[in-house]
Amino acid sequence: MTVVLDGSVVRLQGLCRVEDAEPLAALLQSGEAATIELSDCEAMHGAVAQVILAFAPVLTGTPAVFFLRNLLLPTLAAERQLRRLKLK
Amino acid sequence: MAQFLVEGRELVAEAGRELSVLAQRPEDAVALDGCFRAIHTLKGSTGLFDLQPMGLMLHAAEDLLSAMREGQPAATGGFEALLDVVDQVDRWLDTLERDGALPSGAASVGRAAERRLRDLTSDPASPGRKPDAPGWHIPPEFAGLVGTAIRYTPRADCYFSGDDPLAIIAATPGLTALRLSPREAWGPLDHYDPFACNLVIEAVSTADRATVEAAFRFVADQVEFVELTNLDPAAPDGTAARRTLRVDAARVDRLADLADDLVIAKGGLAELAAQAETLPGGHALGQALRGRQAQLDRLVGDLHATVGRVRLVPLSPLFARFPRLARDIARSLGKSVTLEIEGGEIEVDKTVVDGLFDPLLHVLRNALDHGIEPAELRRAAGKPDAGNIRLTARASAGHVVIEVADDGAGIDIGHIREVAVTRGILGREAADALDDAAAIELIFTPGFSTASTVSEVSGRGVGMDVVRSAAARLGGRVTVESLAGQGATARFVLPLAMVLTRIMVVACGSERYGLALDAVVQTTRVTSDDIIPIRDGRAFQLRDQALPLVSLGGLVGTGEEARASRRVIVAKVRGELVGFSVDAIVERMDAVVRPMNGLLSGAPGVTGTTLLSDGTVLMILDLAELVA
Amino acid sequence: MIKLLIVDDSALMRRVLGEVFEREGGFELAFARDGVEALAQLHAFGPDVITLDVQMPRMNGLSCLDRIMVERPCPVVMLSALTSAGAAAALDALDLGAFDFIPKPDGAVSLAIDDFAPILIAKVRAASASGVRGSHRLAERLRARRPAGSGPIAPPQAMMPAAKLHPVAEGQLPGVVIIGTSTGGPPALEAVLTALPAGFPWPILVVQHMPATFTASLSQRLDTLCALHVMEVTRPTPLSAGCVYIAGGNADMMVSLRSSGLIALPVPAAPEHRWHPSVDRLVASAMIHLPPQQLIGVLMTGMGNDGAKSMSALRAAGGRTIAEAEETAIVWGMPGELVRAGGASLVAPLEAIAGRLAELVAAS
Repeated sequence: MTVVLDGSVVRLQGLCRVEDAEPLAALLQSGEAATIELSDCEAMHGAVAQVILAFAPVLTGTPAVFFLRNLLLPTLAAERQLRRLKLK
Repeated sequence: MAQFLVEGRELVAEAGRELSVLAQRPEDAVALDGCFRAIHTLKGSTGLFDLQPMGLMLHAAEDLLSAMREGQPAATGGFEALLDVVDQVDRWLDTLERDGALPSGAASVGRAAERRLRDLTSDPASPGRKPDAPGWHIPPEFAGLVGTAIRYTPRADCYFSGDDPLAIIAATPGLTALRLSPREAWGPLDHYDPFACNLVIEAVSTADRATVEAAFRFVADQVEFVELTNLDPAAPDGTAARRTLRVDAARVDRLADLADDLVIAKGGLAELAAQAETLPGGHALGQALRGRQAQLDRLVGDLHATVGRVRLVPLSPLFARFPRLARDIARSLGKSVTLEIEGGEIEVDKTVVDGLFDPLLHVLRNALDHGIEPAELRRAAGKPDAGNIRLTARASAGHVVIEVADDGAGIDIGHIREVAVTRGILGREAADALDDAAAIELIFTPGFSTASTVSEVSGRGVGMDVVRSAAARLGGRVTVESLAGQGATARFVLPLAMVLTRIMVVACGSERYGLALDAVVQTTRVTSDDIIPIRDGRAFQLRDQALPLVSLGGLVGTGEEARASRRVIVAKVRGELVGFSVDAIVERMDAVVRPMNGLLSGAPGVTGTTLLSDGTVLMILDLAELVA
Repeated sequence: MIKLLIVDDSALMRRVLGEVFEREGGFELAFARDGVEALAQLHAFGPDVITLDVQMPRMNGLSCLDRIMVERPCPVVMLSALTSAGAAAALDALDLGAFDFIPKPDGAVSLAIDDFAPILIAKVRAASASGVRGSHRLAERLRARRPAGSGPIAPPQAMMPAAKLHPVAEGQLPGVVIIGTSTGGPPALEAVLTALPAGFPWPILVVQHMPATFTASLSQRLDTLCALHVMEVTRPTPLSAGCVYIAGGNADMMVSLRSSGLIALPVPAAPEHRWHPSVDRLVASAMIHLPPQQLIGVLMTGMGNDGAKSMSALRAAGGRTIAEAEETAIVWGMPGELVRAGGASLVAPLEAIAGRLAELVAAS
């Protein structure tokens, strides 16, 4: 299980594959979840990153993998700011 | 495989034969069919072996031929491209016979050929992709980075073909920056499609170009590269690289005019909406029109603002003209001067820049002529022989402050008082009663000239009054400060962006008035025969409507128009159309309208004033208030 | 020995196909270069089964097929290009009585001979085993199956009186029907779906194992034939009554939930499933979002076992399932597996499936 709902927080764990995009989108779309915890994420498929980009949830946790921590997370956070401004 | 080689060679020969016929007679349908069949069969055969590069190339060739069979005109270079494909297949057949496999570079050769054919299929007129032209706006985050910039736009169905664009990016060596953004706006998220790829991935890698390209070899058709160098002079300190475009100023002005015209044109829409609402059953239509109008208002407002920003230009080209002029003037006066310039990067409205040259030159001349002392006097005062003038600009709260400061003798205030009295501007007592600041203000009085001897440089019968009115025309003001023995400073405070109002200037008798053009619905001409007396007024027929007719001259007290044929301005007043007759429509112009102050601020029916180029003040009328 | 006639205009293709069956063994082969030669061989060689290329000079595959069905009915496997034109032709061929079709190896998609051969052999064997019965035109087949004296097929309205229908609450679906099928599926789907009325209250999700270009053509064709609105699912689509949702080929389809209600959406094919679109994956996703009582699974003709596992689980959980009976199934693979696994609530011949569906829905 790579998409785990814990209260209103979704934990992305291990290798998040393309099929994880759908349950993640469903949780964010329904409003069941509004925060994503990334500490244990080891790899993220483009489709999963795209869901995060589209729904602009709160992102918490710091993944250990360099690519996720230093490259992907900053751009997701930056786009989130932009998107939040537009959603208002 | 042996059978394939034999049949393949036959098909290659056949396709080549038909293509040479087609090169002579492009409309030969039999040759086209034959060529199509040969390529089609060849393509089918490649599927039986692991010959994907050949298959892809032939598939594209088949599509091109198929498009031709369906009547699409033969694309320029189409037959040559097809012939190249056939030749390539022939060469590969040799390799296959010898090595039992395609050569190592086959994949990229096949893709290149495929792309060439696809370009021909999709748009015969499209020129080939230019290498290294940055077809996209490099994200500002990447400014200052060096390496290969990558823009990867995965196909929308890439998740279905098993691609993970993020994995491809993550596997690229030497990444230093990454940016993910949506290719298209997300739209409502209720029907968000998690498997339709909507990403644009931009990144910078420090690895060499070949290594970077190799990382994207399977998605070569979806990726662009451009070399980033940090040599852009516009971004020496790492600020965002600026993309600039040279546009003819006349076009920008035309664009601004059109944006203004659009403001006027959309004004008619409210009228239509109101009319529609009064029609039986037209309420919904009227509401809908109103909705659209509101939307249009917003867009036009945006357009206006955007065009306004387009008009912002830096001061530096204007400033750059002055060093030489300063040297020339100084030489003619037998003086020596250094001109320091600062703040040329500040952007202001093009109109401001255009209108500043003459006033600045005038002030500069004054500084050189009257401010900077002759060298011997300077030496006696302990100053360097060469005078110094500083031309500086700085932005502050929506304004730009431009100063011309000299290190000369300063303004001789006693002398100003003398001149004012001599010229009969003030009485002796009044002049003596002025404090220093008020005395300096005297130099802006029309007809005042401070030079005791009219010199070649500044004595041309124009004084600081002209400078002041020029600044006013630009929506700003000018002041002068002086410190005896230390120099004088002329300070212009001007708007960064001009809020220009489009004005229609009309004549009533000998007077001129301005009307805000966006209140004007249309203009027309009415003869006495068209005028219908009604009760205590008059009306005229405009298409199928009778509109009240009012004399503007009558309203403002200059007297009624007497001519048989009158110009009538139809304007909207509190939701109703009213015709205002005038003697003439003089011109349309852009002007900075300043609100009324002082004595006239309470005058009804006047919204503001603007300065005309001849220095006269034009009153801008509020028609609605006039007929109240 | 199975007598196989291979009809193809490409000498290479004839040779490759010949080698495939020679290596396999148990086939007696004959070849024809075009439709005219094929008809000659039909009488001279007397094949048990034919592979027929759709695109041929002189007489194209479809005309040839029509003549075969008139002159000497025989199971035919069509080979067709993976294009939308090829898809339309293949569906026409099924209407004309072809047993099944196979997308031809094509340079643009890497369907190499090693992938292609096992599918080809399986389909040709299945076709020869099916005998002539699968090769009749659909209408004749249905007529032949109906017990004597039972009269014409009752119109859909009579099968399902409107009064018996449960009213559908606004925005809430009473249930979902899932139909899975493979070889021989298109005519079977046509038989079931055309017999259902426009007001059928449960949305119907259909998985037909097929390439993508074919599912688009299939959806268009069924939409023109059916009272129900038939569409291919190419993006997340809200489910509503009166609609049939066909899974797009080369991908899977799943049921999911949005705040606005149930949707069907295409998802990238999962490698753990052998056939795509996957019946098992669709049923499993539906069971996450709907209670088993609100699901009806139908498994019809097809090779393999896709759907048997998930529909058995559905029945075990309290849902209802229908397996097509052996006597009407062109290949009793998938429904057979379901029956053997004890996962079929009931077994019905093709012409009775629409009626049984209506009864189950009305009883819900």
